[in-house]
Amino acid sequence: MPDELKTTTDAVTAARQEGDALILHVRGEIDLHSSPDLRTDLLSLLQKTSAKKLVLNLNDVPYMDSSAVAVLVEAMQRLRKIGGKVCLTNLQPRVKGLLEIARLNSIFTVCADEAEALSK
Amino acid sequence: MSERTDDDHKLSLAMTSDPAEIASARKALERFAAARGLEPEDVAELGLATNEAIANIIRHAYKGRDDGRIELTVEIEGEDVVVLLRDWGSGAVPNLARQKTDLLQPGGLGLACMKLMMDQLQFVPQPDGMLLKMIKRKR
Repeated sequence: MPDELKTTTDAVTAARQEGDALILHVRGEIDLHSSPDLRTDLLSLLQKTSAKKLVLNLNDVPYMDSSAVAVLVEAMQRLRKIGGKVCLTNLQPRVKGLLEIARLNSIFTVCADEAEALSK
Repeated sequence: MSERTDDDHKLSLAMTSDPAEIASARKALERFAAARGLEPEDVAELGLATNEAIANIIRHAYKGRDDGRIELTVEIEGEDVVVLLRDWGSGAVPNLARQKTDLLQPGGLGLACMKLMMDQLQFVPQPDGMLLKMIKRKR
């Protein structure tokens, strides 16, 4: 059974742990105003759970800018140190486009949905 | 934030350097561009490049202060969309020649996006700040 986890900001609407995976649902447009909230939740949950795999469901994120990408990169760097990884799922067109421009689509594991991310 | 459409071809916007205002400014620009028949890809690129430019002003010109003044003007000139961003901050000129080589190192992604999405980018130092001129050619 997955363990539901508490979040502290509006940027992450749901969080749960399944084995060594931390699965987060992110919501809203993430820019310089909201990316600090995403960072707060993401890093505190990573620390709390000691997860090795971070799955970010971005279905409800229609837009993000480079400050959001910086948060994702920071999370990935932390996980890489312990042999972990970040999987991004349900990417919306503008978010997908930004990751392609930043050439980060090959660095993150991009999956169609959570099931695929958890199986990798 | 105050918004004004001077004529059919020009949008003027005054805002502060509060990050909470970035989304409103971006959306006003995107609405203006979309209403003038720009392709959705152009609209999205203009929006993101302007978002990044404003974020850089907040971070670097105003060093995170949220009460700085920023003026945004968007004008359609024939096949060009001209975006002007004026600030009264530090006046430091970013290094446009700098390439982001290590993708995992922080910093530089915003400027890289602006360079990729706009056809021209020019920082014009002012006695009391900076004027950024960005031009995008309609596809």
